[in-house]
Amino acid sequence: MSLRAVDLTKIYLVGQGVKALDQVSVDFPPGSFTVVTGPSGCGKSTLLSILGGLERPTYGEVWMGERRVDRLGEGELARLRLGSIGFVFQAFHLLADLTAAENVAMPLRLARRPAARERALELLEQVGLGQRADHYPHQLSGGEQQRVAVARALANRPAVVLADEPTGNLDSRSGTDVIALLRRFNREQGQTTVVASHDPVLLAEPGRVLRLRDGRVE
Amino acid sequence: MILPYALRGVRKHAGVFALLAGTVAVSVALAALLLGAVSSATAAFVARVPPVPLPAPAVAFYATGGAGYAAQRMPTSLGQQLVVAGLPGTAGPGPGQVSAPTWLVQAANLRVGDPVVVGGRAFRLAATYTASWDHALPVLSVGRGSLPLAGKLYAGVDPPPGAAWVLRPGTGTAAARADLGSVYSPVDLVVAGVAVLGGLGVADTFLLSLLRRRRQLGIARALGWETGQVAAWLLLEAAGMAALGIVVGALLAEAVAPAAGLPRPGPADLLVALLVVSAALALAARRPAAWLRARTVSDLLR
Ligand SMILES: Nc1ncnc2c1ncn2[C@@H]1O[C@H](COP(=O)(O)OP(=O)(O)OP(=O)(O)O)[C@@H](O)[C@H]1O
Ligand SMILES: [Mg+2]
Repeated sequence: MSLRAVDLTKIYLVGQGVKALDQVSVDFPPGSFTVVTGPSGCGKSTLLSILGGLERPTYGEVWMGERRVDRLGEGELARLRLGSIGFVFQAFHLLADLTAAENVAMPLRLARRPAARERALELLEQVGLGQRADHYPHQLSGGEQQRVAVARALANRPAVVLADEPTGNLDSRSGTDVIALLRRFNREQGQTTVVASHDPVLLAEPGRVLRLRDGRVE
Repeated sequence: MILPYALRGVRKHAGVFALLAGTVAVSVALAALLLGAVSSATAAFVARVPPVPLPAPAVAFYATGGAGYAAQRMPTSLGQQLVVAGLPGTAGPGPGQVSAPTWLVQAANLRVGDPVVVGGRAFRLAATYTASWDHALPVLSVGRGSLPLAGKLYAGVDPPPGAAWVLRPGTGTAAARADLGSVYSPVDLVVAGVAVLGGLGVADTFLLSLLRRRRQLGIARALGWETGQVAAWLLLEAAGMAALGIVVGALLAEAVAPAAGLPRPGPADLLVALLVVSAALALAARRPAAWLRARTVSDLLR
């Protein structure tokens, strides 16, 4: 599914106001893999949050296919996130009380998919963690946790995957693994993938790079 | 779908909860022991009063326990009003006399001057008083000061040893029982007070855990949980803790009450517990729901 931002502007009302995004228009074609980069504070996280419906733009529009999503109600947004968007975060954000398999199965259960556990195990197998299914996040390394997070993001076969600095907390080796995973899923399953990062490994790879500076597209 | 996650939470918070339950249990036990001590003091007090010959009792009202001291020490909102209203004051009875609230006098068809038996000893009903609270207790005045005859008031003909009797020949037992069956004693008030404090404690812990788990809630929202589902999750978790609390509390009470000479918890006590807990839950759930709605998912994840 294509993902489109039109004149996105985000102003945070603190102090005199921070313009985190300034009229950003960008088109992510279906199945594309885009790296969003730029110096710290340039608005990468803000862009991804708004694209994924985690917050709303001050001005501008977000389109997912033919659907305008920035105006959806909270309930519809939640269902959109559940069914169509997969998130990967810098801090992994696994649920600490749940095992790896339960973390991956959670979105499946929420969406009332049958055989949630079987599919979760299959996904863990695909990210190379078949043996760690019943381990809790604190029993896993950072790289392993992030792979669980990738598996969870892909559980409901989303049309869009948004990853905010997925390698930011990882050593270069685990980071490379995670990037390889995201690329592989993008290639094999065609999710429109947007990755915010300043990881040189990621930037060196072929593919589209979107550079932001002070909330604008360079 | 939500229930399993709520159960996880209950399991995870069981530690904090056990601590809280322990504190509450210790307070209840202390209160119970105190009440037990006061109860025997009352019995000893009553025993010193000389007996008066009386006709055989036809109807007996009796009070178990004896919580006068605790009742007088209770905060205004719980018991003081009751005791102050119940104190005979200037029109009160002298040594060896009993005064009773009007509802009791009416229910038992008593008149001032009628003979009453307290703790196996006889007195005359010297005065009546209007209690601002329906369930005020009869007051026994022996020498200096006065003591409410605490505990639950029952109608019956077979009071336990040490119970106080209020007699009125020729009155039917059944009518009296209907009037007096659901009277609450200061003991219940103390326990209810402790329960309220415990409930507030749980509500507080719950709010705290909410703030601590802000990120967890953010993750759930990012993954597609709706605000209502998250709130239901939290509420179920709190309800689970509360249920656990009621069970643990009832078991503790069952264990502690006989040792302290208190009545065992009955269905009415469970009802009170349920009411308190529901109120605490309602209190605890409203704030987080509003709190959640006021925040974007990004806010929660930050
Ligand atoms: N909730 C907020 N309230 C106020 N200002 C914010 C908020 N979130 C972000 N900002 C500001 O918006 C700007 C863009 O922030 P953003 O997090 O999108 O940057 P970023 O490119 O992701 O940076 P980094 O590489 O450090 O993660 C920054 O100046 C930041 O201080
Ligand atoms: Mg960022």
